[in-house]
Amino acid sequence: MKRLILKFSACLCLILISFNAQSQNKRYTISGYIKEQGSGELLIGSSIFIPKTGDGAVTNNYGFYSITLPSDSFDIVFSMVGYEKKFFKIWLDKNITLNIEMSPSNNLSEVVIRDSAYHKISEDPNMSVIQIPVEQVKDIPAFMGEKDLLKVIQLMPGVQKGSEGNSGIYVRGGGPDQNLIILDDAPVYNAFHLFGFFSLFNGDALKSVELTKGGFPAHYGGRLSSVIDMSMKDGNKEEFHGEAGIGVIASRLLLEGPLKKNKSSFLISARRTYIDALIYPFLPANEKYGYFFYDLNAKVNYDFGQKNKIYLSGYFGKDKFYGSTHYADEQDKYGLKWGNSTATIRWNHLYNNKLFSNTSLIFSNYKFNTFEDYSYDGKKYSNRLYSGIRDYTIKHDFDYALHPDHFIKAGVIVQQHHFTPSGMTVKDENFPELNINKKTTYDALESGIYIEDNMRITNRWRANIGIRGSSFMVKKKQYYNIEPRISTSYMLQEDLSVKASYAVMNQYIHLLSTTGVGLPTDLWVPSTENVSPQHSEQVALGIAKDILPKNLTFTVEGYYKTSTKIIAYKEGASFLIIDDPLSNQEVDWQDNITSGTGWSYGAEVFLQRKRGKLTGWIGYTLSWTQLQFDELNFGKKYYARYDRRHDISVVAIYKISKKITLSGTWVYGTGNAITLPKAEYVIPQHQSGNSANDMPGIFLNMANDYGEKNSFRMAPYHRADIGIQFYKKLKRSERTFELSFYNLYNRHNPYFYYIGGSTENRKLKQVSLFPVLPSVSWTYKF
Amino acid sequence: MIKKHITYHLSLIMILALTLTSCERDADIDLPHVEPMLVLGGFISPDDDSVMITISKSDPIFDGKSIDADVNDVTLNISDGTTQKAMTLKENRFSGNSYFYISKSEFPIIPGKTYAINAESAGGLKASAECTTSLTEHVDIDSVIVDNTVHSDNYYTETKYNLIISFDDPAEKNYYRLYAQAVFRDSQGNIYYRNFNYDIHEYVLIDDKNSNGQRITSKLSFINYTTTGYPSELIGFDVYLLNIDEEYHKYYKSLDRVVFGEDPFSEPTLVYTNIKNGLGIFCSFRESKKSMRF
Repeated sequence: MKRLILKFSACLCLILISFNAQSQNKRYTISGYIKEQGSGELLIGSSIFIPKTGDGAVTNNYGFYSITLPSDSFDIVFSMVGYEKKFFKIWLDKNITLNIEMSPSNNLSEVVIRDSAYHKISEDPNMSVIQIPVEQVKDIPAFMGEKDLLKVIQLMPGVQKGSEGNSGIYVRGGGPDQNLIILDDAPVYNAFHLFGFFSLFNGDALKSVELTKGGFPAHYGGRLSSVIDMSMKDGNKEEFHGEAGIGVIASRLLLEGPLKKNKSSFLISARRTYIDALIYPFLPANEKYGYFFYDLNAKVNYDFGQKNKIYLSGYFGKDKFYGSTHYADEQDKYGLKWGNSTATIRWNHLYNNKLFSNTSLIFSNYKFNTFEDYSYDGKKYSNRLYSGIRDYTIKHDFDYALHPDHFIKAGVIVQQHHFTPSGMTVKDENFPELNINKKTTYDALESGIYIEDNMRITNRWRANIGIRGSSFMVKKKQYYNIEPRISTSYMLQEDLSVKASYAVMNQYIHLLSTTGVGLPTDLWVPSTENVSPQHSEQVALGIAKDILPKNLTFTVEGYYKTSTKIIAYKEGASFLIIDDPLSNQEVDWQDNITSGTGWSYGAEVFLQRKRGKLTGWIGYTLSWTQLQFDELNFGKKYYARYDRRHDISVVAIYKISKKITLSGTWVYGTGNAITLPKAEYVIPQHQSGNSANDMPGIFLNMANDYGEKNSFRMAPYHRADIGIQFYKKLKRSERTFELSFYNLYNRHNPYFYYIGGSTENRKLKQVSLFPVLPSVSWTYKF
Repeated sequence: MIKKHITYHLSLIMILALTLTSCERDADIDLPHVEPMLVLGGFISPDDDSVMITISKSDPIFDGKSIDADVNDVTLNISDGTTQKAMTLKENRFSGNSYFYISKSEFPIIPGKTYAINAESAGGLKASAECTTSLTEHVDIDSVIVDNTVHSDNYYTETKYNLIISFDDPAEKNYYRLYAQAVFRDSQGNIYYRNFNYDIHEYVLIDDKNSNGQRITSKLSFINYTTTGYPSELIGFDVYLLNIDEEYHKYYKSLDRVVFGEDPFSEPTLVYTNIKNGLGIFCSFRESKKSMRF
């Protein structure tokens, strides 16, 4: 491995040196920011293309681009899906700063893009990356009408959902904890509301979302399976705008506008459910319970000019279940709540027209707790059980547009994690000696340093080669790892390329999760002396084809991933076990887990249409995921619960006219692998000594014979959703009315099975969650 | 207590949420055909007066009928490699469950030997297992210290006894199962025994991996509830330390997750078995006992 890394580093150096030798000709740089006309919103992923040389660049996460070319005259084309293209003629005899404003395209006609101006998937050396079309998220029919970004991501090939209605993401066989979900650089540790039925992200405040499933560039690290990188909108710098929406379960509001025109803007977006407020009057006076969640996104920014920009953004969200009973001498209040908060301060600095930097200070906190306050006859009892994770992060990244053939990214990140896997306080006035106040905490320091070069080796051959060093320190234990990353593409013919990638990933923090139910009680814990970091290696091979006359992109990818030292709860163990039944002692979470190996392999086919009247995609995944843990299934390999042989998603959005949009989705997935009892039997137990409780020496209890773990398959899951949106342009505003149907043909998809029927004739019963569910929503935009 | 509160609340919320929208019906998946299997339970020791192997049949869940519980058609042989004996089928007069029996005089268990059992029913069910009585030494209980705390009100008294038990672990790899019985005398002077309270753990399983060759101290707790008008006198404890083999340990470790695993959020627990074509366990142990009387 070390030899490989040395060779790899040497290659990188050679390429850079050889490039420097060539670059002595007179060259100049065109650089600047690309913004949306009318709002001043910086555009991520806009394409800059020089037809004469075939060179190109793409704006970074902050809307900045830079391209260095020999002195000459050029045509230059700026383009982005959903925006009108811009053309310029330039005589390049000095460095040029060119800030561009692009206007959104409202043209619904079938514009056929025949040139190479748009960013083409076949030319991108990266693979296994999907840009999630944020605007389309609003058009895709959603459960209870609540638009949900993670559920749209679930519709992508290689990504599987957990169970019915759940927003959990399983990428290429990895667990939900192996996804790095970042919002404006801040990691979000629990991305779900209401046990996973909704995610935190409804798309209102988001500007761009990118999903990476493999071939990870070196600037990402810390998780094994995927990165979901989200950027919040900056807020309109020119005019005040707003959007309000009312749905079946929640309402939302977004406001944005300039604080100082063209210099500074703000954005605030909020959502809250109201079922608790609606049921409150119908509950008996002495018994109240309810549930709500809310989200709040906020961002402000200040543009100090071409060289410096500052952004401050944050997310705050909370879920709360609560109940209370009040009687004359007895009061009880109980519930559970959980929530994330993140805050990011970012400073963009342009050292010169080639070197861009971003410095971020990030805070992220996730906390879960249960509470009960009980009093009887004036004597009080209360308990709190809590867990959480809090991070402080500093991150410094450079983008260096060295040459059209070499775009360098480098950076460093240091994260201070504070874990509280479990904490408990109990106060009992009746039995003060039973009072408890204890918690387990860990402090850890995670760091990463990386460099990557997005290079054009020949006109046909491109590559992104990088290396990341990562380390983790917890108590006296230190882990260091080197992670080589490479992804490359070779153009076989125009618009058709073959791609390959290899990535090593390490994950130093783990989520202890009870399988089956997506609970907020899942605990984040660090690697420790006894628990090693998780490690994965993934290779992928694929082809990418742009079918420009039809506005289509087509990719086929195969992957093979091995993950080692992944962790799982031991059988029978869960977060609820506080005392060990075997030793009668408090359980250390480290004793409750077991580590093992996972193998995932499969193929993904993705056909996508991003432009035109009819947009959407078809995704198909064929995959296998197996696990092996010494302490599960008696050490034998077994299929993971979410091992899914076939997974199909079809998404179609059809803009019938400027006033009406019709959309539909259909999904199909092989059933989950589950463990069901085959037979039951009297378990032999042993007791020597005297007969106790007038029973003979050997006691008899019943147990189930499950055979092997996950040897049953649930029935396949399939479902169609459909939605229709009616737009109306008012004098200074716009309103949208949406009617949608979830589970259109009322498929009874199994949520779980249980054994029912009579004792003589037991039957396997299935419980399904959602029948056909209509929902309506209304949105007003001004 | 806290565990129960959380379990209760979470379960309540989940059930509430599910019942609001869910519907249930018969599952439409193909279930594999499952035959009954013989279930054998043999815990053998050179220290016992006899060998007893419990026998029953597993009851396939989805075959649409309840089990034919009759095990009278089963025969079981035990062998030590040279001698093979047929064991006698008996019925437990309290529970109605069946077991095979052979006395020490007919078939002694000798440390270091490998024993095999073979069971066969007239209906063609077969199961077999092997066990080597690798444990040659007793491990004696060195000390038992008892302390107690008392809570009482007008109606009842709750006394919690903590038994602190120590013993010296020998140099080789060892597993233990430690448990105790409370010894009572009723108003007529009869002696009777009670196992330790189920909810605060009847016994302790110990693996010496972190304390090999050292002194091991463990704790058992017993709560004695006495209600006014129902006198019974606790006169002492009998403490048992079983030096168990690895199979015994694996089996009980998996079993305890079942017995205590009432938690709806945990994965189903697979009970360990070393019975070929069957279920249950065939393993060995050595026993030490210490009796304490107040």
